[in-house]
Amino acid sequence: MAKFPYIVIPGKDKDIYLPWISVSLDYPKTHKVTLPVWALIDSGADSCLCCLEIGQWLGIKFKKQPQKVFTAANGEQFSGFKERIKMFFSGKKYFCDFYFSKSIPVKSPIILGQNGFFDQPSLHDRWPSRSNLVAPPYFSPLAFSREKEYYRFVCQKLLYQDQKRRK
Amino acid sequence: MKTINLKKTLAKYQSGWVAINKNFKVVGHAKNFRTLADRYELKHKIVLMPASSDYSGLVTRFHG
Repeated sequence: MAKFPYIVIPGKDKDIYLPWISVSLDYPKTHKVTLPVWALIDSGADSCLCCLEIGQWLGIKFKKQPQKVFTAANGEQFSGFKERIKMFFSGKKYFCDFYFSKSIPVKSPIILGQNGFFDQPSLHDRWPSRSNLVAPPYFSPLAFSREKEYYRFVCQKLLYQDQKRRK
Repeated sequence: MKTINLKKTLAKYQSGWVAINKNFKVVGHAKNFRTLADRYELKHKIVLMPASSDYSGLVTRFHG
């Protein structure tokens, strides 16, 4: 089962615990890479979403991108511009379709959803089952030392394979 | 697994974006993402996050 530290942040009435991970986004067309940004792991979201501000910094020309209409939890509709982005986290890189929209709340500028994040084939062997998945395992929230993280990832993966074999 | 508590770290910042170092301390603040992202490089080993006095009330269910 996935294990990773929750991030505790201030809320109105009580503290908020959020499954945030730090990811870097790379737009291959401009070769611009963001610094690690906290991203919300959200299994309830169908797609990966990102605020327009980050997309503009990456140099994406939004007028040319295909749009898709989304429906939020309150029933409101908003549109997002699709773009293929290279995403770095936990010392690895993944290609992922992101939808950039003005409507993404600033509190959570990057949302990692089912299509693009949870359905990554290369990630499937890193968690036992998609049905009870909350977040990818072997994850360190800060991608500060990638070599160290990769070493940790390899160790944990070997441990996981060993446990699986014993079962 | 221990949680990472950013409550005290973010207490002073109510809007904009903040840069947090590996000791979970705020090392930079700006009104928008662009300003902060242009100020630092990957070698600085920081993480960017939006600042808000209240992170609660976020309900996500994006169906597309």
